[in-house]
Amino acid sequence: MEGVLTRLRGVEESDAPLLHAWDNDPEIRAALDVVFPVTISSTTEYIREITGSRDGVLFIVSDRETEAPIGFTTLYDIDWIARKAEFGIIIGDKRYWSRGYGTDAALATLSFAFEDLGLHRVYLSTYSYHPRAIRVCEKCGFVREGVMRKARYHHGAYHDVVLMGILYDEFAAHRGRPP
Amino acid sequence: MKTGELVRLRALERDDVARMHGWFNDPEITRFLGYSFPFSVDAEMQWYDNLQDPKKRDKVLGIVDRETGTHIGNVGLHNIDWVSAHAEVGITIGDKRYWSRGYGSDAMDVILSYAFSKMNLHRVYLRVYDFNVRAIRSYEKCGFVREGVQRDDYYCDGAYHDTVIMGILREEFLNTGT
Repeated sequence: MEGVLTRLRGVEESDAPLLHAWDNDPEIRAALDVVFPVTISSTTEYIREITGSRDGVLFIVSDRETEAPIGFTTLYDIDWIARKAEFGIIIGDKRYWSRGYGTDAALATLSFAFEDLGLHRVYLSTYSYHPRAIRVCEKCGFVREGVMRKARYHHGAYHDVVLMGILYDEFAAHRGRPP
Repeated sequence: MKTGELVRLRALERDDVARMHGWFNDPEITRFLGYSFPFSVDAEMQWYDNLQDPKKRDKVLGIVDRETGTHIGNVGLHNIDWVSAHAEVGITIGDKRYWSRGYGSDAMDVILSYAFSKMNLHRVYLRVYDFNVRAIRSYEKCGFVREGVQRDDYYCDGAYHDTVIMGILREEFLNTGT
């Protein structure tokens, strides 16, 4: 899959060290639903599980220019009856933060979800203390659907979980390039 | 465990499985729970056996009519998250003679009390489909607050439906004085 700035490819077992490093970085973990340390073996196991499944996919995002891997996106818990999936994105290389790479990779993943898999809805949850993620999702056309109050404990306090969703019609209306 | 006005909660037993198999194959009940293909008594038994694993983050109890001792439904805490101290609650009144008579609300009150006062959780939430008006009304009665609507989240009987998310915090529950 090609974005403008990024390219997506399927994850390989050899990507485990990369994912493992990102998953254990405190700044990145804050955005993830993980608390305990992530081991290299559990990362490898996760890669095996998702690549062996047709109910989820994990893409490595790379910079189109340099080919360097900079993060990943995922669609998981695909529900083929309701035709929906949960979306996740991490830009692990911090030099690429706030420069449009996340939005670009997110749009390429949504295009795969809607135009290749034929899904009807993509949704996600993120944390109120993570406005960068909320901003990326809004730029992609996600709508804020709710706030689960105090549903995440982090750094000594409870925080809200923000729910967002996008339907195929909404994505198709702007062809992934919102106004 | 605290007893309600109308019901008490007890552990599920192997003998309950056949009864539950009837409930969870009844389309009038399952349309409120999410789709499921028809399933066997064996599958229900397997579900029961899995539930016995103490590491499992789901606790499901039977709801019993205090007066007659009849097992009328189940209520459970799912996806228990011990770090964020919250869980999802799910409830089914399988015996339809007990619908719309306050038994569900009473059982919900008992499980919330258990979640907050015994398990030290700080938040309980639930998901309910938008067409399940009866349930939404009873959850509001229990003190749940509507927190969001996941659009077109569920497909049932030829159409997409919204899922309503509702939540209640410990201080909200304790302040209702129930």
